[in-house]
Parts: sequence; structure tokens; C-alpha cells
Amino acid sequence: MKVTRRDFLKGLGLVGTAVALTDITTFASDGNSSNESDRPYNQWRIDDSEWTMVIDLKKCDGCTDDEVPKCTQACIDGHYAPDNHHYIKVFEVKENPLSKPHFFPRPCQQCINPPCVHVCPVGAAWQRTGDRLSLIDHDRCIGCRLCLAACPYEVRFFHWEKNPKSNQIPEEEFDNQMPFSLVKQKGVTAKCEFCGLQFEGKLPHCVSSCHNGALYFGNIRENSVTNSKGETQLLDKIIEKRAGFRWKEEEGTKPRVYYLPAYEGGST
Amino acid sequence: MSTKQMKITEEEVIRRRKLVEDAMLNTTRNELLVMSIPFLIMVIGFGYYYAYKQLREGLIVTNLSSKVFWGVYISSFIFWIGVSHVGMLISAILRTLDAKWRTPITRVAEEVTIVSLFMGAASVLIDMGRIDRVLNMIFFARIDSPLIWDVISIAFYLVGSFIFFYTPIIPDFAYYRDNLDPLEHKWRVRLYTLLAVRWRGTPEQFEVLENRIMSRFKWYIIPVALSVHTVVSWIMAMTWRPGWNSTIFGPYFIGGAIFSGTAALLSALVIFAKVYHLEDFFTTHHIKQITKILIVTNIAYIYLTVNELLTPGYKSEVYEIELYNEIYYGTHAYTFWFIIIGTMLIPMFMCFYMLKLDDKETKKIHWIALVASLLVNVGAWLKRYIITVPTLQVPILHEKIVTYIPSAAEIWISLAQLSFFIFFYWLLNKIVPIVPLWEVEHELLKNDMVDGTTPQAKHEASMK
Repeated sequence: MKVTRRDFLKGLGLVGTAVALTDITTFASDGNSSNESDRPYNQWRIDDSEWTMVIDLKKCDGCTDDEVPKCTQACIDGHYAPDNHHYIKVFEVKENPLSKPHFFPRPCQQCINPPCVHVCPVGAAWQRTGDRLSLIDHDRCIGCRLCLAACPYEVRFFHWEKNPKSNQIPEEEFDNQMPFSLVKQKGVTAKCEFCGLQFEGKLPHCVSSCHNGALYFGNIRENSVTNSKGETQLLDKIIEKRAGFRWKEEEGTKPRVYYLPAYEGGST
Repeated sequence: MSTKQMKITEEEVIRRRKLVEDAMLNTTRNELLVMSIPFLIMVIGFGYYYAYKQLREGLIVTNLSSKVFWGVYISSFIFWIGVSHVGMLISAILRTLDAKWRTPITRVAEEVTIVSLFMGAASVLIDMGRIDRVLNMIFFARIDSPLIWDVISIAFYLVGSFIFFYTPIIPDFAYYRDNLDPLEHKWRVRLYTLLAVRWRGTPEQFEVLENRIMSRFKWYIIPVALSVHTVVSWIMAMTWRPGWNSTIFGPYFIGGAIFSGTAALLSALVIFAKVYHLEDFFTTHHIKQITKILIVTNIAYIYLTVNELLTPGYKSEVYEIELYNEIYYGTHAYTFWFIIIGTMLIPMFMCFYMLKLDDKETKKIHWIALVASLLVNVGAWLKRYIITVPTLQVPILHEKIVTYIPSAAEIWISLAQLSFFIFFYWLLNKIVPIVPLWEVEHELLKNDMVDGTTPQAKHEASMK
């Protein structure tokens, strides 16, 4: 049989389409964990904990005496982040004309259903299996900033230039804390990644630096959270008692950060 | 065109073909063009300098921040991709509607499409933080991401537009392969031999070209083109941001795309008619027809804009109303009202006035078409900016409005893109005949409008 050029091209087209379709179905079937094994630190201290943060707005005084709140400063110093990267940021909130203003710290909400992970074109924003932390693979990020647009809490930041503190990062830090939270490069996103100090048995920088013990950190599976003063609470009890809430529940992101209201209310 | 038109002589057909050949083969003596080239090159040079700087130092050379993280580059991206939709409109929709008058202007429209698609793709690449990792979009592509949908549909549109652009030039390439003096135009003849892919002009070949490719392929290009700008809009509409969180964004962007694309085509037609003296091909009749499309798309776009702005504005949710206050009365008020009045309403009235003019008032028609279409294009870019930036400036948390003023790098790189568009367009027209001559001459013969034969017919006979 004589194969004409047209037949050859047709065949080539068919093969190409088939390959493309296979690829697409591969991606579609398992969007979140495509090429998981290619990631650096893939298995970094993974276990079945599920980390959570509880923020007691009643205790947060906004550190008004300091230029930068203590939690924010500790986070910047601990992660060698640029000074304007407030991974945990403290807002002053006045909910309505009659309510008293209060302070509102915002770390990454570590959503169970994270929009940043859904929109990422390359899977650089990813949720790892096991503890399901939302992390950033800085070696894969292409810097499109779609995740910044998608995050309803605006927790994500962008390294517009090479991190000015990149020379200060000691090599051993990559082992001591979450390697994902230390960024040297330019042109990639960064955010709060829940520190990684918990794997060392320590509290995250922000939690341990809070002089009022307003931030609690712990494991949902163990149902306990601890603050800087060593006070340990049962997660479900404290949420029930203080009518704890999650921020922007209506977005369907299912955050893993709980807030305890600044003021007692209701029928109590 | 009107049915009572008289037959034209064979000499007239040859004279018209000569006009196109002059534009393509001879270095133009038009002062406007000659003077614009060094200017364009200078702007492109500045753009390259800043692009190099940005590549070295990172996006810090822009004034973007972690709040306003998309600015001029993304506005340009939406603008260029929008302009590219004119090719689909002229080649596919008008072909479907069997609008005979479209023949001479199809190539100008397709060229606008191809060049602006490249500019659009360049805009996203410039905006990327890590351009060195662009291949990650293929290696690690996640089909869940709107950006990957974008890559797919733009790639399909680029391929489709290229087929729509290239295949109908093949007979023209073949003509110049055989009819140029090989000694005088050495490299051209070689190039055209390559590009004409052994075209022999047999009835079977024309059957493949006209019926199989052009007529069937239009059914492919229309949905693909519609998908392109819809998916571009989805990059924004798939987020919760006030102003972007909208269900009308797909049609809204499509409407804006066809509106601005038509305006770009109109500018190109007037400029070519003047600079290369192609009034015989791009007649005032053509300009008026395109103007009619411009008016229709203008009205459609006003309708969509009212829909987009009124529905959230009426409900006045906290974040939305902050955004609209910023746009209507805040720092963007001058820009916004200039867009509405200066680039939508005024051009529309200019177009209505122009349609009333007699076809013979060429100069007046040209000037009105040029000014109106340039206004529409300026407005189209500004509208993309108003869609992109204010949404990011207004806080969605408990913060103040963030300021953003584009940096020198952003402005120069964007101007360089515009200059590169014009420059590349001129270059393209030095290789490709601006008018699909074989198609025009086929139609003249078919409608029995020539007294005698045409160069194209002679050429086809000679190849047998």
C-alpha cells in the first residue's frame, strides 16, 4: 500500500489528538496531585494531623504601641519575608455604627476548599495530601497572580523582586521550619503556610509572639489548641462556648481558622 | 455594490492590480509613512530597554503591588485579544451571511487578527513573573484553571486564524511566483515559490480552497473566536472580586471585542486607502458598510455596559458600591465619563452623520471614519483598564483604597507593543498583497463585470 502525504498527515493528526486527549483526561482525573512526586520536599514531615488556628478577638489589642503588631513582626523575622509581606495582618474593624471597633488578625485561612489551588494553572498552589495544608511550590510558580485574584481573604503576596533578605536565610532554617515558607526568588507568590514550626513541637512565630495569648494553634484531630501562655483549650468546646465563627463562611471555602467574637452577645 | 454598475475595462483591472503591487513591491514615498518608521523604531527601542530591565530586576519596575497586581499589561492583553476578533467577524460571519462586498477587505481584517493575537499573547508573557517557566503551562497544566482554558482557546484561534489568513493568499503567491521578474526580485520569487506550495490553480484545488476550507472552516472559527474572549473574561469572572463577579462578563467582553476590532479595521482601511491610494478597493462604500457594523456593535456595547453597571449598582452591596463610587465620582471619573461620552456616544453620532454623506465626499468620510475609529480604540483600551484596575484598588477587607499609577516601564512597554503592531503590519504588507486579488478578479469575471479577461484568469490559463 502506498502511503500518500495526506494519509501520513491525517495519521499524524490523529495520533496528536489522541495524545492531547490522554493528557487532558489525566489532568482532569486528578487535578490537585498531578506530578506530585516532582515536588521538592514532597514528603516533608507529612502526617495525618490537621492544623488549625483559633483567634480570640477579645484578647487581641492590635499592639497599638508597636509600629508593626508583634505577631506580624515575628512572622516577617522568622520567615525572612520582605517587610511589606504581612502574612498575618491586623486590621481594625468597626462592624456597624453602634459597635465598638476591635482588631482582627488575618493569617492564611488554610481553606479546606481553597480557591487559590483551583485556579492555579500549573499546580504551584497545591494542597498536600495528609495534613491538607495549602502550600506554594516556589520552584513551579509562573507568577501569573491568578491566585491573588482568587483569594477572598487577600492573604497572598507577590515577590516583585528578589527577596532582599534572601542572603540572610541560614541553610539549616530549611530543615527547622516549613521549607515552603522561605522564599529567595523573584516573580513568585508567597503566603502564610502555617509556619511548619509545629513539626518541631513549637508554636508558629505569630502564635508564640502574642503577648496576650490571643492566637491559639493546634490539631483538629486532637481537638486541642494552645496559645503562647501555654493555655490549652478543647477546640469544640471553646468554639461552642464563645460562638466561634469562620470568616466569610458564605464563600464556601471552609477555612480552618476560627475566630472568637470580640464582644459577648446574644442571650447569655 | 449597486447593480447598475458599469462594466470595467481590462486596462482598469490591470491598473487596479498595479496599485496593490506598488504598495507591496516598491518602497513607498509617502512622507507620513517614511517619517513614522524611525519614530516607531525609537519607541520599540525604549520598550526593549524597559523589557530587558524588567527581565533582570523583576516586575518591581512596574508600580504593581500585592493589592493592585494586574494593571496596564493585563489591560493590553484584553485589548489586543479583543481587537483580534475582527478577523472572525469579517471572514467568518460575513462569509456566512454571504455579504459580497466583504471580498477586498478580508485580508486587512485577517492581518489585524494575526498581528494583534501575537500582541495579546506577548502581553501575558510580559506580565508573567517567571517567563522562564512558561513551559510549565504545558508540563504541569491543570485543566481546572481558567488560564489553561485561555491557553487552549487562544492556541486554537491562532491556528484557525492562520489557516484563514494563509490559505486564501496561496493563489496570489502563485501569481507573483510566476509573474515577477526572477532577476529583479530574486528573494521574493524564492519566497513566493516556497509559500505558494506548488499551487497550480486547477479546479480541484480551488474546490478544496473555497468550498472545503473556507466555507466549512468558518463554522469552526466562529465558536472558537467566541470562546477566546469569553474565556479571557472568565479569568476575572471566576473570582469573587467586586466588579468581576458577574455573569454577563462573557458576552460583555465579546461585545467589546467586536466593537474595538471593527474600529481597528476601519482605521486600517482608511489609512491604507490614503497611504497606498487603494480607494478603488477600499471604497467609501466599504467604509460606510464597516461604519454600519461599528454603529450596531456600539449600540450593543452600550446595552451591555448598562447591564453590567446598573444591576450591581442598583443593589449597592457594600464592596460593589465602593467600586462604582470610585468609577463614577472618584479618581477614575474623568476616564470613565470620557469613555462613555467621548468614545461611545460621540463616535456613534459621528458615524450617523457620516452615513448621510454622499459617497463622493471621500475626504470627509475618511476623516470622520479615522477620528471616530481611533476614538473608539482609545476608549476600548481605557475601558479594559477601568475593568481591571479599580476592582483591585477598592478594598475587600477592612482597608483603604490603594493607589496605582502605571510606571514608565509599563507605559513604554505598552507603547512599544502598539508600535510593534504597526511596524509588523507594514512589514507583513510588504510580502502579502493587501487585497485578495484573485478573489476580487474571480468575482469580477463571475458577475460579468469585466470587458475582456483579468490577469488572474490569464495566469490560471498559463499554468495549465
